[in-house]
Amino acid sequence: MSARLMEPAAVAATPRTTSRRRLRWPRGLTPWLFVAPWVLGFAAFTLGPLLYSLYTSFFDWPLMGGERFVGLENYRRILTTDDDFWEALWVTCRFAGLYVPLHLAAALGLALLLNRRGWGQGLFRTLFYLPSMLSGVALVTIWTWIYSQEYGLLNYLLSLVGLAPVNWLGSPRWAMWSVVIASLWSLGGTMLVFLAGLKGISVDLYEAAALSGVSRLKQFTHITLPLLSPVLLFNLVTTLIAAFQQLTLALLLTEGGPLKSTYMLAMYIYDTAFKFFDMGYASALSWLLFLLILVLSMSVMRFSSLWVFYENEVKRDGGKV
Amino acid sequence: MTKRFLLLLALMMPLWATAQVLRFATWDGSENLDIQRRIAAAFEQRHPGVRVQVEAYGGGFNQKLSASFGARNPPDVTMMWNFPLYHRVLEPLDAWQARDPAFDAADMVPGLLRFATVESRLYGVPAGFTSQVIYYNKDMFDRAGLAYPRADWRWEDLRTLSQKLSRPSAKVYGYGLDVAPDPYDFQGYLWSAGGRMLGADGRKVQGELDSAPSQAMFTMLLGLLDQGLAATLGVGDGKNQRQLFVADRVAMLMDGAAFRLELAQDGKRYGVAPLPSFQGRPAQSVVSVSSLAMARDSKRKDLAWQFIKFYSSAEAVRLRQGDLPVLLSVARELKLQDDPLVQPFYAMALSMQEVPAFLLNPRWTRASGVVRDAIQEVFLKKGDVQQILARAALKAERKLQ
Repeated sequence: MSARLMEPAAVAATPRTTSRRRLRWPRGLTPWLFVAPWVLGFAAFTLGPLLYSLYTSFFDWPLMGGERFVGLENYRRILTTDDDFWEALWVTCRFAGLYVPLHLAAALGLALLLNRRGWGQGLFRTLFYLPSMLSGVALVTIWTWIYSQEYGLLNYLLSLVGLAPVNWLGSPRWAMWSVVIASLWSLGGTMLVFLAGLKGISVDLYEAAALSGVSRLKQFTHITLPLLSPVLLFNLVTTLIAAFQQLTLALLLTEGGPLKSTYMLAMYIYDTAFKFFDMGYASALSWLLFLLILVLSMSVMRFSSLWVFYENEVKRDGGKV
Repeated sequence: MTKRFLLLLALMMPLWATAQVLRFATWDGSENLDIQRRIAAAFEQRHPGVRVQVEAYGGGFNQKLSASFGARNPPDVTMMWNFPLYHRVLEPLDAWQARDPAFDAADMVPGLLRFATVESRLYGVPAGFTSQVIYYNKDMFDRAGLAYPRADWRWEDLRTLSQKLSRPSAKVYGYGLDVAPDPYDFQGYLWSAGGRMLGADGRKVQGELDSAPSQAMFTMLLGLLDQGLAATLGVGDGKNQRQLFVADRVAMLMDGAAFRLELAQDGKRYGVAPLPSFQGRPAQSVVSVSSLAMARDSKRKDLAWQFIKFYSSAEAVRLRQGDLPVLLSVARELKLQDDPLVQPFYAMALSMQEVPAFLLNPRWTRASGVVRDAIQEVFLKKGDVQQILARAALKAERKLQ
């Protein structure tokens, strides 16, 4: 019904109703309403437990039995007397040292390949991303078969070139490499972020460089890498965090062994909480891991100004780059 | 059709609403879980209006159970083995047992109740148990023309047999040694040599784990590996040692009663023998006991006790297959002690003179990890046995403080 056909009283009442509604429902509240489910979920299932674990870390808290306030004692014990913590930290650093550069290099390499014009780009993009959608448990099952000393694909490939089989999961020398290689399978997300970054680089720059006779390698080092550096920074930080939190593969593939060669910090936290039921100590370990990741991430960010280049960056001489 | 279904559902609702629900947590999965459900169903038949909710926690048993206790929402009844760790949240059962004439503790296999006893109070009732024995592969023995192991055999006999059965070039071995074992099971080796992991006072590891008898046993086992007479099991491809036995790659290995089910399914010809004696000492094996315990916070304690009692009754014990009957009357009735495939388990169970470390100190779980690492180090790194054990003993002792 249009306003023209309304009774005068009804027509007069309409704006007042709208105005009352506006008063009741401030516009600024609407976006909060949209994000409220996430905020509530985050508060209840992430922030709440997070703060509670901080509180727990100041207690001697066996899951069964009463808790006892011990102040900073858990932190003191970890840092001064706990050999297992330092060993696990060392193994985690070794893993991160191998995993982070390999993960970034492999993801960037694949993104570069997919960025070239050619047949089946969409297909390969999907294929490379597919392993990222697998659950960690499925991934472990597949890699257990690949690594099998007698029947595994990897040793079969080695035998084709006359190399002796390797005990990938049973040898302290190779177990870490096995976990690193298996972890590399899930690089689809990083690869896609690199690919999006590569798509954002103007083709004109490459054409101009090619016309000037600049080689492919120089184009990569002087155009691609600088313009991709913000994306690289993002991927570096997220990969670093993932490396320090690695649990599933080590837990299921090698159980931290052999000889603790793959026993990482996240696994030590897991054991302390769910095998030894020492929740206070496990919480303190978790917070130390958090602080470690925070310091590392902040260091990376701090020094990023040395190698990260933003397109709208203004040089000190005032010229736009 | 839909209307009828909804009507039926509506009529059933009051039944469900009035049923008393008893929560029962178990670590069993697959076939053994079916057995638990059958026992629960039998209990429901005898107790109309009661529904037993079988909660299968599987591999995450400890995590889920501890979380439920931590949240003060535990199952009424739970399978249990680690009483020293959990006893504070469990209901002591001495009084329940004392006032129930139907409960006959004298019919239990001797020594099992102590696994559920902490500080002289009973917290659980055993429902099944196993000891460790040596399984031997009859096909491999027959092909090599060797006589089967006798009850009074020694580790020297096992070594001689292994020499005749092993072909390292074909990856066939006389004995399969788990080099990443649960330290609990490994205690049997040390006890048989006169050693221990933890002193009787529950505090001393130094002088026990690294004692001369313990070193002698480690050295003997290491010798089997070095001479190509034993396969390295428990790491890498050797994780599934049972498959290697079935595939005729390992002729002898130490295992519990549950392996019998797998071998029966595969139709494998096998025999079992007690553990060999070492340097003239009688062999000893650990015993693993599955008990039932009642949560202290349970709101249906009467019903929970009825269920626990039923679970360890002859009727329910007969249904269990993954382990051995805890009731002597059932063992006699089934003539198990005359069965050559079962009798060695009972013989080894009765041989246990030592007390497992976890019963001596509730913090042993932490120290146990150190011992596990030391076992791996001895057999994988093959360093100096005395040094490795001495270092581990010192570290383990610190974990107990």
